[in-house]
Amino acid sequence: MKKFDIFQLLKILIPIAAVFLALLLGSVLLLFIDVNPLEAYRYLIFGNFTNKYNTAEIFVKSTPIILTGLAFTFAFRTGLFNIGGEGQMFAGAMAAVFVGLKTGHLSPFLTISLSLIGAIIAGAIWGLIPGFLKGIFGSSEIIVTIMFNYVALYLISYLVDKPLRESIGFYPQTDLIGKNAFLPYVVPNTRLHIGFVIAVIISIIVYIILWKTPFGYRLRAVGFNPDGAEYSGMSIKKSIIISMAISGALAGVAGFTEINGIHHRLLDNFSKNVGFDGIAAALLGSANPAGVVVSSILLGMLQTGSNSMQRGVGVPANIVSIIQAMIIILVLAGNMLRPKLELYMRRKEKVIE
Amino acid sequence: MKDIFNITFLIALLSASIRLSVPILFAALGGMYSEKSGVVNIGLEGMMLVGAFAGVVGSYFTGSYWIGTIVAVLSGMLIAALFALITVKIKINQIVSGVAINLLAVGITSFFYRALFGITTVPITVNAFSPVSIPILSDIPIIGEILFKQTALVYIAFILVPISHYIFYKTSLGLNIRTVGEHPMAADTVGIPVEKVRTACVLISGALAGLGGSFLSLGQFNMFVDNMVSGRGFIAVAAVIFGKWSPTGVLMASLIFGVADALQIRIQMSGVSIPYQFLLMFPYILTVVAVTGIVGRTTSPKALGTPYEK
Amino acid sequence: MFKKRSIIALLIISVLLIASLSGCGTQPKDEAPAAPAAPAASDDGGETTSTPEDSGKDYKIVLLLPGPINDQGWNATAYEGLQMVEKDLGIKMEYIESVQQADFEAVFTDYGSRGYDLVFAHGTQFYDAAVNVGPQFPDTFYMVINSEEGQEPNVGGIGVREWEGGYIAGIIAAMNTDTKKMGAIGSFPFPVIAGTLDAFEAAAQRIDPEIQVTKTYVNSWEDIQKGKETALAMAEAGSDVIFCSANEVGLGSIEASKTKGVKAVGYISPQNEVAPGTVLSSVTYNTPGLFKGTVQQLIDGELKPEGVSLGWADGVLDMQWTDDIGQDVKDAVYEAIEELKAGKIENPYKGE
Repeated sequence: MKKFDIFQLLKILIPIAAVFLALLLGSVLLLFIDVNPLEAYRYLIFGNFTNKYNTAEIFVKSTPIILTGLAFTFAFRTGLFNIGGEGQMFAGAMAAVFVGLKTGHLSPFLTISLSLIGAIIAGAIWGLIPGFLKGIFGSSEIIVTIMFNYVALYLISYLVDKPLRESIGFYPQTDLIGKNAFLPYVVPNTRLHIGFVIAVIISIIVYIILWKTPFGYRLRAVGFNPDGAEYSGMSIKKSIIISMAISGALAGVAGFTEINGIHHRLLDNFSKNVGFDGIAAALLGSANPAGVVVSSILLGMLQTGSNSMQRGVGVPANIVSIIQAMIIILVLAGNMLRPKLELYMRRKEKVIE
Repeated sequence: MKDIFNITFLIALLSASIRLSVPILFAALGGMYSEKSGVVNIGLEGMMLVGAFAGVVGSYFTGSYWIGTIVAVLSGMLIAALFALITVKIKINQIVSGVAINLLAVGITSFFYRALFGITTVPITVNAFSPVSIPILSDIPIIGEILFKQTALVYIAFILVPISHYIFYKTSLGLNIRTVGEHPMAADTVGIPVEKVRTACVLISGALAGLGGSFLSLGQFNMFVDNMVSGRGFIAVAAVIFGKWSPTGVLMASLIFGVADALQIRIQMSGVSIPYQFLLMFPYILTVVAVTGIVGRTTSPKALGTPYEK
Repeated sequence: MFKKRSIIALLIISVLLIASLSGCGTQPKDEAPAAPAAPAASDDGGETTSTPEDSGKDYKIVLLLPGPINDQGWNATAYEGLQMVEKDLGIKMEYIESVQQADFEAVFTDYGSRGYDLVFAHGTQFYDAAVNVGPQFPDTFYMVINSEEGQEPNVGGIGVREWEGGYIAGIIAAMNTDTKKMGAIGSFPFPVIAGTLDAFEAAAQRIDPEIQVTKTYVNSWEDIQKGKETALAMAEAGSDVIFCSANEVGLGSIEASKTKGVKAVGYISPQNEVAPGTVLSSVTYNTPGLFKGTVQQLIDGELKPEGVSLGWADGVLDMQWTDDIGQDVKDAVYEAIEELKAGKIENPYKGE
């Protein structure tokens, strides 16, 4: 029993130690520019909790990361690398804006549901194409999804420049979507919208699909052992295409929450890097939905905390990105090294006993 | 558009294509070494950025752009060493590691630039390469104009193609690299040190990406500006796949991207009514088309992306 | 085993240490922002005579930048403004760079709730967020640069008529072209940028209606190689004066002009020194003065929640001449500046 506890504790201790180490390295840079590291890190860690608004921002930030994280997780569990979460989110956003602009006059329930459905379909299509190319031609889904990120980016750039440009024709952005299409806020006087709740519910659904249904079992079986699965009569091609479509749909929902919950219009280059944050969240959360939710919230904390550190003591953006990169690297490294450490400790223990 | 087949236009287009393809070629050749050994390197972008910055710093303090270039190569290798440590040794997911390396590179270059030179409205300039005409060859009509009136780094990039080809297909080292990328287990059984080979290949990719970066800052300019690589590292990743993991293929892919970009600029200038965003999309769609097998089926190294566990 | 346990203990201790250290730091310091500086000032008041009793002098001002401060253009000039405010008015402004669009409201809210007096936002894209957040924090003034609108009670805008800069650049360029072809490069087709390029063209054609201007966008503020290649292509197609409104990308176009032996007009930053002999002259932004003026208004209590639009008439634009420029060009430029000042010329950009 006692030994077991130590190993459980390690699961928490190692990431904390990794963060600590990253901060220690960052403090060298901070000292270099005459910023007191303790003061800076006080903002990084506690800066979010000074008031309700900032605390809510953590969850605002983590909402799209959860969804793109789930997208990566779903594909990953079925043996695929979907690096296109960003592009699929953009696709979802395009659809959500389009629906929001056209149906904004309907009742909130109707227009929001339609936006969500639109985003799901658009994201699914953006994921389905690479899945199809992988299934039929064997094209690397890693590459096709990366390329599709760029295509989506420029497509948005075109849409806001020409066909969907705001009606007064000035800035390259769309009009605001109808007020009824705005996601309702969960906590008053903050930006925390219902998208977060939707993201958490979706994570539960993903868990149930993957682990509690025969359908999910089949998809995972293909990912786990393609040859064996094919032998037992499953269609790998079909499985790949379906997985990628579902994965894309999940990321598409992130576009919906960002548009209907935060921006309320489409603009160039919105919500940058959310797709890649999702991959990091999925890996930090060992690619299971609960883990994704937790690590997305942690990433949300890291980002809002970094902003708060930047505001509080004037830490330049470049040090913020160095510290963020170090934290991601070291936490993941800690995760990878933990089994080795455990093994080593167990052996030692045996020797002593 | 009527002067498109005019010979001066063609020469200008092709020499622009060469200039635009060289940074991609350097990084893509590097990426190829890494991927051949089984390591996906999304961090090329960051490694190029570090190279671009280090090259300027080296040239600034020594006054020699050649030393600057060497500093760029070494710095590229340094950050690649970190990438190798976390992907090959610790075995963190290669894609996320690459993304983290890029984030790190943006931060580090900007931090040290400001630490050294402060915040400026006019950038610091250093000694840099100027074009070298190769005697005799540069007198060949058309081809001489396009190929042999470039900077030294351009020639180095092109020489690296046959050298890489030789290494991969004519030496035992190349065979070892390919074996490690295809069947690491088999490689291990016959005594090839899998992790060492992969580390070496990642280091080579860092060195070449660093060269690519220094081509931008010292070969095309004489300065460093924040984030000057602007996505060329990602295009290089695409070029590796488009080029089917072979040196000549990578060369062709880089050239095609270069031509696409040079053409894109000129099409936009000619006032054709295609929205420019679609022109910018072109290289990426081209890559998708390429990997769908229209240019022949692409087969990646079998162990690409998977760390080797004994 | 013992060793391992001690390592773990060490880890726990160090984690607790940092937590407690940063926790300890919280208590005394966290109260300071809540009750801004007043107790701190009275504590130190005895020793530091430099802190005057005049309580109105302790301003909290911050500058929000949409991009990196070192962009050799738009954001870099704002940084100069910040330095000028510190030097001339003795007020230390803070700044944060690369603020993401998704964070605008959160950032405004944070500074509002921390009781800042003045928040500069360096770009029109901040305007919507300022309007949304502004009413919640009436004691904070939000000044959006490049917005020509404002809103009661506390959102102001200072529009810079950038097209007036483009217009002057067009005159300089048109009087230095032999081929009657010129190139104009923009970053994105934003109204300010598109307007600048259109004004460049309009001015050039006023000098000589036969002049052709090629306009292109590079979709980037920082892709310096694309800027260079675009300018090279323009020069190869016969343009002999190049103008660029796209921060770092502009450096690429100047480099290309130098390579091809054609001319360039510097823009935003004083760029004559980037390539002497190539840069004809630079049309510069007097952004620093703009910041100083606004802070002065804050001190005098004269900030108004309205949008203003500034141009040559207000001293927001300036010229950096080189010796290569003949008197005839200078005369034409000054004549055009007078016309712009008098409002005799209209912005040629009419939206999409």
